[in-house]
Amino acid sequence: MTGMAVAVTAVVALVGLADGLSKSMKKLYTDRGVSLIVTRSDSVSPLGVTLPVKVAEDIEKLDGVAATCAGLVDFQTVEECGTEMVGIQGWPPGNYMFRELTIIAGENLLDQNSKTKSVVVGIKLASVKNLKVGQTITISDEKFHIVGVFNSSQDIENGMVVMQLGDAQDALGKKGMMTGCTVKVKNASEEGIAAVRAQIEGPVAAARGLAGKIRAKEPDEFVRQNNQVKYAMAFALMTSAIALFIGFIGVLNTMFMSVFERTREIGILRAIGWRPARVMQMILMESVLLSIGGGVVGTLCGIGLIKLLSRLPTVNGIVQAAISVQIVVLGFAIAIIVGLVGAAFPAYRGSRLLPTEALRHE
Amino acid sequence: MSNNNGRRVNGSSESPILRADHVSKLYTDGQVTALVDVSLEIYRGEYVSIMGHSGSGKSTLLNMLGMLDRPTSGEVFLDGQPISQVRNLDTLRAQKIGFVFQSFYLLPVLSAMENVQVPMFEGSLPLAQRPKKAVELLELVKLSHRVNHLPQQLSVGERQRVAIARALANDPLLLLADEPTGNLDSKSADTVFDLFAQLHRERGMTIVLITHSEDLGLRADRVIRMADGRLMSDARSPGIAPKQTSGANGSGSDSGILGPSQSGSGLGLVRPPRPKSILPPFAIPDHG
Repeated sequence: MTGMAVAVTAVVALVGLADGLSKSMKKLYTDRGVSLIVTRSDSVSPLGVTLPVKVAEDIEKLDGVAATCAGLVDFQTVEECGTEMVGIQGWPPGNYMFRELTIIAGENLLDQNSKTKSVVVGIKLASVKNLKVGQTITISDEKFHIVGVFNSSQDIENGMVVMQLGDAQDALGKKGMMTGCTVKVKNASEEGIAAVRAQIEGPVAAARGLAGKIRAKEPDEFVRQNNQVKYAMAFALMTSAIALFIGFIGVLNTMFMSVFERTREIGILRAIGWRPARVMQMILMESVLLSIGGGVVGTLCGIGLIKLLSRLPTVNGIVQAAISVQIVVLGFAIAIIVGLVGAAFPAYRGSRLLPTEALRHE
Repeated sequence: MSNNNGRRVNGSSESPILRADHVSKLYTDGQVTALVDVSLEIYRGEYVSIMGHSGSGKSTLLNMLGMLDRPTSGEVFLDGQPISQVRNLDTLRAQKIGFVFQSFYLLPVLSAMENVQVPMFEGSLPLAQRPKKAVELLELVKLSHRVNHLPQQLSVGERQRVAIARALANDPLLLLADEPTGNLDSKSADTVFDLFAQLHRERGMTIVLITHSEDLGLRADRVIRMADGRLMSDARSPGIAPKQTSGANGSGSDSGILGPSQSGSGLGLVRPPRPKSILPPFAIPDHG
C-alpha cells in the first residue's frame, strides 16, 4: 500500500503540476476574451523568437479585430530578487491589459503619459521578495521604479513584473519587437475567428515579408503546442511512469508474499470447494482494495504536495494549485489498474495451487 | 430393497455413494507409492473409520475419496459418476463433500459464523439466508453461544466443532474427516465423536473418518484398516451390533454394510493381499 501511495502521490503531484501550468496559461487568454495568439511559426519557444510590433499594429487595423496587445515576455534575473528568474512583461502604453490588473498599492501604468522606467509588480512576487512601492529594482543593469503592486485574476501574472513595452524592449534588448500578440475578435464565432486568422497568416504576414512565418493560434492550441507545457507534461509523465513501475513491482511483490504466506489458507478454500476463479477473484480484490487505500493516501499526499510546491518561491505564480477532478480520477484509476495488473500473476499462481499441496504448506 | 440406511439387501443393491475401483497413487517426485490397488465401496448412511499407522496411505485414500487429488490409476466414483470424467472437481467437492481436518483450518480473521459461511459461496443458498443457516449449524454443534467468536477465542474442541459445522454448510452427501481428533484432548475428542455419532444416527449422514485412536475408531460401525498403501481389512466394528437385514439370504452377516465381493466370498470384502502384519482380532477372515 505504501508503494502504491508513493506512486500515486508522484503521479498526482507531477501530472497535476504540469496540468496546472497548462491551465494557468490557457486561463490567461480565455478569461480575457483572447481569441487568437500570434507568434512566429518557426519559434522553438514563444519566448525565443520575436516579431516586429508593426505586425500587431497591422492586425489591429483589420475589420474583424476588436483589440490587440503586443506583448514582450521573457524571464530575467532581478538583482533584488536573487538568482531566480522572474517573468517580465511589456505591454503597449494604454493597452487594455493594464486595466486587467487590480492595483492594491501605489498606481497603475494606465496611459501613455505614465513615467518610463516604471513597473508594477505582482502581489506574489512582492510578498515573497518583499518588494514595495517606491523601491527600485534592477533588470539587465537598468533601474526600474516600482509604482504599484497589482493582484491579477491570473495567478501566473502575480509572480511577474509588468512595464511598458518600450521599456521592456530596452531592458531585453529587443527594440521594436514583441514576443507575440493577443487578438480579441469582434465576432468570436468559429467562422469569425477563422476569418481573422486567415487574414493574419495571409495578407498581414505577407505585407511584412513574413509569409508563412506567422501563426495565429487559438488559446487551446497555443497552450497545447507550447514547448514549456509539453516539456513539463513529458517530464511529469516520464517520472510518473517510473513511479508507477516501482508501484507495480511493489504490488507484485506484496501479492506474491501474500499468496505465499497464505498458501495453506488458499488450500483450505480450495479443499472446501472454492473454484480457482473465485480464489483468483479474492486475491485480485484484496490487491485492488489495498491499491485503492494507497490511491486515497497517495491522492491526498499528491494534493498536499502540489499545494506545497505551488507555494515555493521558484514556481510561485507560475502554477496554480487547483486540483481537477480528472487528476483525482486519474490517481484512482492508476491505483486500480496497477493493483489488478500487479496482482494478476500472483492471483493466477495462487488459484492454481493444488489443495493437497497447499494444505501441506508450513 | 434397502434398509433405512440404504444398504444392499437380498442381493439387489443400491449403488454405493462412493466407490474406489483399483485405485493406486504414485507420487512421482519421490517415487513413493502411497496407494496400491485399493477398492472399496461406501454406502449411503454408513459410518466408516479408516485406521492405520502413519504412512499407511489412509490420508491419501481420503484425498482420493474426497476428490482433493486424482489417482494415478483406477477410478473413484461419486454417486455413480466417475471423477476422471468430471472437469470441475471443485464444484462437485463443494456441493457433495464436507471436509473436517485435523488442524481445523479455520480462517483466523473470520468469526465462527463467517467461517461456516465460507463454503456457501460455492453453494446455491442465497446470500441473505446464509447467516441464518450458519447459526443453525452452529446450534447443531452446540456452539450457538459462540457464533461471533474468532477461532482464537475458542477452545480447540470448539474450533473443531465449528469446522464440522462448516463441513455441513452445503448439505453434503458425505462427511470426510482426516484425524479430526488428532489435536484434541480426550474430552474434546469424545465430544467430537459423539457429534459424528449423532449426525450419523439422527441425520443418516454418511461419514468416513481417519483416526489413530483405536477406541474412537471402533465407535464407527465399519472399520477399514490400512498398511503400506493397501487395504488390510474391512469389517463391521465388533463394538457395534450388526444391523439386521432381511431377505432370502438374510444371513445377518456383515454383507449388509459391505460392498459387493470381489473375491466371491459373499462378504463384500474388498480383499487386499494378506498383510504381513498381524491382523486385528476383528478382521474379516480370508475365505479365499
